[in-house]
Amino acid sequence: MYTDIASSDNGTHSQNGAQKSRDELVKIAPTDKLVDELWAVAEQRNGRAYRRLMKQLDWTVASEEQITKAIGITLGYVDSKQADYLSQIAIERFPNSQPFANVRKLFEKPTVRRIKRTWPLNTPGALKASAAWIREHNDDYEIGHWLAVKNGELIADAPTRNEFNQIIDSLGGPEILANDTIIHKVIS
Amino acid sequence: MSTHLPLGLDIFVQGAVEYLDHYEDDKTARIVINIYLADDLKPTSFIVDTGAPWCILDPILFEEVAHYAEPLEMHVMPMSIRGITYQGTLYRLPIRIPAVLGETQEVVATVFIPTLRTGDQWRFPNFIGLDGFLNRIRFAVDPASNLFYFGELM
Repeated sequence: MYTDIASSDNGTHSQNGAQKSRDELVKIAPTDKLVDELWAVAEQRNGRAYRRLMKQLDWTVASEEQITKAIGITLGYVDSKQADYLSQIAIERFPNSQPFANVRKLFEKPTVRRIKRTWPLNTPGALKASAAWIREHNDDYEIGHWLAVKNGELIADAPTRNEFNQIIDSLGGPEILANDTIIHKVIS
Repeated sequence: MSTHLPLGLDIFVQGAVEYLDHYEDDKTARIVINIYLADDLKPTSFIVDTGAPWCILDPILFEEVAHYAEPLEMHVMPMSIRGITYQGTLYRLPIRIPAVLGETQEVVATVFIPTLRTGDQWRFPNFIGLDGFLNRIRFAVDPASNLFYFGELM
């Protein structure tokens, strides 16, 4: 028999003690209502209720829609381990699903692309000088303003990103920027 | 005199990039690195944040590199960012760490792009998160030389 796991997680659910309750956790088939409940407890950041419900639901018999929603919950709740587990079940049961295939990519061994280009070690202090300039002048600009600062000197600024890009293009394009240029958006 | 870690395929890391230890006038110590989004040539500052879930990117910046990104096609539950709940979408996006020492590397990261309501402005920094990026590489930090070392998982 299903008990309302999420709402019974306030310490009143167990007559026989927590250990027994854990031992007797019976898997149940997910229903739309239970999956909605899972979403709700995850949104409330009720970790205990989330874990219990997630553990009790038998995802191997979930519908495609239910498991899709459950994976969305795990990703938003940043429960990667569970997202990995659910997506394995999902792709086994629904091998032609592109969304499930995409989610599986999150957990595959990453492919690293090596790129020959290496920048020379920045002029010592160049980045710090640019950061110091930004600290000094940040408040002179409106929120949302974009600045490019190199070697402690402002080389471009504009109130919107589009205008900023146009100025960079007029200066010779982004190639003029090295990784010792700080591109800064005023956010406070 | 500063010293550097040895770099190479048969050892822990293959590259290093210089980092700043503060973001703007934030008094909290940070690790801020300049990286590149896919083939875009404009460097973008990111705070390395092992407490951040996924990488989080300013939606305006994402517009410029969206053609490099692959959407997850999954409705993700709203995420809490610095106490504010945001709807958004997860994408896979190549992130390139430009080496000043050793080898530049590119890894496909998982990036959360917040959906803003009309008129809203994104007022947070960009974050490199643990899930979807940092836990897909090796990394080490040398505060003495402000170098962030990175390498491929073996």
